[in-house]
Amino acid sequence: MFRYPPFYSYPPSFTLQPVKATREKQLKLWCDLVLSYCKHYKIFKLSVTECATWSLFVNTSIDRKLSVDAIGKVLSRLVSMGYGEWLNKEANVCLVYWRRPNEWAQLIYDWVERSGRRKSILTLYEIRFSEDTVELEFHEMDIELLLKSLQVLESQGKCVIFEGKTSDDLGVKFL
Amino acid sequence: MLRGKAIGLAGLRREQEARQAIDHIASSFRKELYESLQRQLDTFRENLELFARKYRKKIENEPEFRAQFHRLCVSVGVDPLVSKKGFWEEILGIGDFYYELAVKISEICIATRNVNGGLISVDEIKRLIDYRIEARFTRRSSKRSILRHQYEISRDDIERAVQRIQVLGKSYSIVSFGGIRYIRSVPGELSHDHSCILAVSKENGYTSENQLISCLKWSKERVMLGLEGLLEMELAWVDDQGTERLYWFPSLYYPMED
Repeated sequence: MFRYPPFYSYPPSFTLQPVKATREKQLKLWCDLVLSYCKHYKIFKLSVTECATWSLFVNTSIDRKLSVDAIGKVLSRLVSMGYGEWLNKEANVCLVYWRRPNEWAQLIYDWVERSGRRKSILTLYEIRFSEDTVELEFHEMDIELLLKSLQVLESQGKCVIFEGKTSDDLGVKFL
Repeated sequence: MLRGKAIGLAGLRREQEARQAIDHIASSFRKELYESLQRQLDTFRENLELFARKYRKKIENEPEFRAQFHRLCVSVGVDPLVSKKGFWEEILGIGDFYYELAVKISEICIATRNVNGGLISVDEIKRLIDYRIEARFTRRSSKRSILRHQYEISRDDIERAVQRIQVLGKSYSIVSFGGIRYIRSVPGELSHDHSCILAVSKENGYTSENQLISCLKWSKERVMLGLEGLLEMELAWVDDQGTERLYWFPSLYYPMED
């Protein structure tokens, strides 16, 4: 069970505050909540319209919900703080970085080394769904985020990414 | 000439002796007075100590009695909180009590400062502390003495504890606006109108334009001016999802940890 902070039970938290200083604090509180919620439920990607119906943004016990517009502002703040990245120009779908790509890269590379998979070729599908990774945080990870993390490793010269027919068919050779 | 000098010398000596005798009497009188006062004070301390020992449980458990005991001590110039070492500490463990309470209060102030602008009513602090103590009790995890003794904490204790923290710096103070006692951890003042608005909101933790107009019999303009001021000071939050716009004051009420 995810434990919501007291802030979530406070009715005005769900109305975007008119005074800038208060709004800043409010956005920060929402960002913290979004990050801990996503981490708890292993959520990697948020769509503004879709998540507007989640309990994350709807507190039925006090009959309050955050508007789509306000959610957009929360996620924009998350992106501007480096905890997310928009995936489209319309800015309504974003990756959530409760771990940043370079941190994921490190976790994946540690696993590769530990399990003796250096020099071998793996598909992205194997990294995400292999039985060996069930216990690991990147199991069932979002594919776009995985690709970004592998690109970090590639830029460090720790792997080479190969073309595939689909994203899951992409292969990667760890060096 | 010689005689004259002898008389002079003898005279001087006599004078000197007389002065010494007076000094001696005076000093022994002072000494006696001092000793008598000392004895009285010792007796008093002994009695106070006996009293403290005898009523220890009562002092611990009854906030009202504790407050009276404090007033008694203060009226004779003894501060059981200041005397860290000595029998007060030993008998009552009272230094620890206020120290722990002060720590709790500052924890709450810091944790809620972000939303309440550094102003929190004494009642709200009490509510949060009571809740925490109860919650910890049911969890049976804490070994802190406040909780062990199952102290009931009064507003008076809270204010005393805050006075303790004030010794460490002026950052915490007790202020009174519109008949409500607050703990301030961020400097600032409240005007008369702002205090009145908070006083009306005290019961629910929020208010509305209409409620203020009917309670305070102010013009709409005056009410709005006051509310805008409170918003600007980061003491009020708006809520537009009720039947009318509500103004919430985290200084008066803020939800608790589940």
